Amino acid sequence: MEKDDFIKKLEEASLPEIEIASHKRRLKTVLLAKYFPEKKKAAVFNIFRKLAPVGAIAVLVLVLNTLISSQSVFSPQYTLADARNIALKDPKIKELIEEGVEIKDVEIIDNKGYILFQKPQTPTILGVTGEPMPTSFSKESFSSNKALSSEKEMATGMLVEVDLKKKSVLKVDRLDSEKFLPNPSEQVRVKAVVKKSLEKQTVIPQGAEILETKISPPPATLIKINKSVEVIPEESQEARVIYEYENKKWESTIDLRTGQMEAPLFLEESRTPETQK
Amino acid sequence: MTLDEEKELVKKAKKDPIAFGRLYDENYSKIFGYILKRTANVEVAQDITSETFLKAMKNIWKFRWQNVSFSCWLYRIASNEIANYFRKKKYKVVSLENVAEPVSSHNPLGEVIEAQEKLKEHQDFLVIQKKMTKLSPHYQEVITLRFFEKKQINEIAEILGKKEGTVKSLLHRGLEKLKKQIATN
Repeated sequence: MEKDDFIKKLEEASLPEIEIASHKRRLKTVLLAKYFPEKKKAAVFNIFRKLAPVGAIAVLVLVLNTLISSQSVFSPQYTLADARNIALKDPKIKELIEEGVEIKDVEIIDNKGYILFQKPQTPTILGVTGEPMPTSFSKESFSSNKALSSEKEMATGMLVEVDLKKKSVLKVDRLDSEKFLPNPSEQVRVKAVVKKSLEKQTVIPQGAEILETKISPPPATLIKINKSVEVIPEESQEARVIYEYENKKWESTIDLRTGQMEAPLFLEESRTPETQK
Repeated sequence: MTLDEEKELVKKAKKDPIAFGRLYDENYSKIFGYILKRTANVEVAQDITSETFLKAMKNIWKFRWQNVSFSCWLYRIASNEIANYFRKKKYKVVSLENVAEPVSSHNPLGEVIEAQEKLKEHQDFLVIQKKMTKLSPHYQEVITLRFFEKKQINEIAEILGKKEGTVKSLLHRGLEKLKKQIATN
């Protein structure tokens, strides 16, 4: 092959322009969460570096490096399906599958597999003040002005750690429901999208109050970072909102990705004592 | 973004996570793209990208502005992480398998699998990339940066911390070796 032809071949090779949007988003979430702790660590290390003798630091770094890289260089390559299958063979996990938990994500780090299970969840409800409400909502209880039901179906999940070499389950960590709920910054984003979507439509009067926002629970996911995994919820995709204006109520569904509101459904008009005469 | 604007943003990023987030947004695609072109594996590229930005965040306070784009520093970290990866993994990486039920339809694995399938469509690139992995990392770096990342010699020199003459020499030798590899197919 002539050199020019060869260079031309390299220059003209079609290059993949691929991006994983969810990875970009998840990694950013983790990085921003770690920003201040890492800054603090760097500041402490700097002080230590200035005070301690250079030799002592070199020894410490060497020891840490040895500990960190003590895993075998020639680890066999395991697949995500290997990790999944080991977890699914465990009797306790089989029971939970029958109860409706789903695998949300699988990651492998060296000889260990991490499988994230999540139960179907009840939505997160933000009240008038925008703060999460611990109770669930039903249209019937709302329209009859009865007290809201105090049903507390808290979502749960599990992070299962498996040993891919020994093909056994090492650990099953139950995860708090808070892990799967939209975090405060996500709630702020949702509120902003909901408010903006009201401005973009013409059916509900602009002065309407947002009584309740029900956020459909986002799936959780794992992200590999620093030889470990972290569980983070994805962005919420949909919310159902109740609006009120002059005793009239509407309900609508909002696509939180586009900010588009579906055609609002008129719920009811409350009668004040004066109008009931 | 101009170089001056970037300089200001980097300065802010040393104290403000939002500014660091902006630097991340500006550079994620090119760094992920570079790593993907070097490794030809979407899952591995994700992992190395994560490690690259984590290292960048941990060390941003030490970063000194050298009047070149901040991305040069990120490319350098990424190159080092890729070298570490190939040093530790001396075997062929297995592609992702499709994970069957009971997996949720919102599984991000689906996105990765789809991306890996899309990557397979670029066979002319994959053939070259496979041959390149038989070269030493020094040659892989310069060839990828020059032809796939479309960097100029001075930019490559900055990224790799080498003189321009060295980069040209590495490029010349690397291309000769790659040409022989492809010819012996």
